[in-house]
Amino acid sequence: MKFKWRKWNRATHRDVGYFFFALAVIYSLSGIALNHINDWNPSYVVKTKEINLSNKITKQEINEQKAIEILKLIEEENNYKKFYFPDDNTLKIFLKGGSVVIDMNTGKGMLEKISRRKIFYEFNLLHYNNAGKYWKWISDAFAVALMLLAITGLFVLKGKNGITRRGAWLTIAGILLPLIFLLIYL
Amino acid sequence: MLKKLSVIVVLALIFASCGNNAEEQEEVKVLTVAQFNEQAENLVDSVVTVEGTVEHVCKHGGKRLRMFGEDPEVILDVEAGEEINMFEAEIEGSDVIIEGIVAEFRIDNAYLDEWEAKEKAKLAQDSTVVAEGEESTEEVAEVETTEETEAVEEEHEELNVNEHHVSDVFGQIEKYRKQIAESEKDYLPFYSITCTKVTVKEIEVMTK
Repeated sequence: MKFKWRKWNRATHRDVGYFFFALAVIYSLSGIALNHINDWNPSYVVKTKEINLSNKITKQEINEQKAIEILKLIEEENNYKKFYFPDDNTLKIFLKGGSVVIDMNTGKGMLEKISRRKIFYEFNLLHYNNAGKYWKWISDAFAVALMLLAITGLFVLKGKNGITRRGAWLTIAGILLPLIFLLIYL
Repeated sequence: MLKKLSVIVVLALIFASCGNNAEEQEEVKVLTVAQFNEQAENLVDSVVTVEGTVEHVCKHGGKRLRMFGEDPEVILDVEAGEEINMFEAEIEGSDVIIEGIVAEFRIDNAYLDEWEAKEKAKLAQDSTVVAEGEESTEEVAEVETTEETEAVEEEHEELNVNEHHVSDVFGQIEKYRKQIAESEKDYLPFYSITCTKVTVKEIEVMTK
């Protein structure tokens, strides 16, 4: 009996494609996000707000209680973590999910709040391989699956849209694209 | 029977004592940031445990954090190792215990020469871009004077920012050169930790 390789090829392409659909979406979306890491923060939303305490404060008067009183003015008292003085004129109060930096001479400062960017944070966590020690094996399997999908994908169709005609030109174009960049920048 | 029992008891005692030794060996001395900085030279490539407060986490990639101990001016840079990959931004302001391998980065005159050359090349490239912008403005000046002037002004502003950056960088390079000349070694060592484990100590959030 003749081995029907094209049938097996199609089945492999189909089932591997179904199974790794979610990972393909996760890695491609976070890939775009991480590609533009210099333009935005892909994992966190960082919001800043200027604050003005309207009076100067001194290093001596600052203790935990006073720091919490300051936070009450900006409704952040429940998020108090810790405070310290980066230099003689600056007070930094750490919050759950942010910080406040105050110029003690002027009472002016900046509240910075950070929160996890929905969906992207989770996807990036996986992309950064930071989801436990076993995730890297899953991502390795996904990488192998991508190669398998690419190779089996070449032979799904026969005829004018197959690898011997239209498919050949598009495949060659896809190979040339990275080669051109390598020739320019290598 | 009694003999067998006594052999089992002895073996059990040996294993128990071995276990205790292992536990004792596992007890690691936790250094403060100041202690680490004092001893770092002799700790390169060894595993250390350091306790401190996280001052800053690089929020873009979470690959680095900076921590301080009792004296906020004494700081320590920590890089995420393979086991960690990234630090959560939420640990800023938290007390943490960092376990990792001590790394040394040396800055010598050859490194500074290379750095300076790169910065000069970057500055030259930026100047060329602005000069080209000015030339093209002259060509179309009669038609779109205002828009083009604004664009070039913006480029000049950008260049000014870059110039500030570059002068800061050149100042820093010069500072390092002086420090190397004054030091006994022909390089400046910078110590950091490549983190393999980070433990965040619980913080009681006060509500009153």
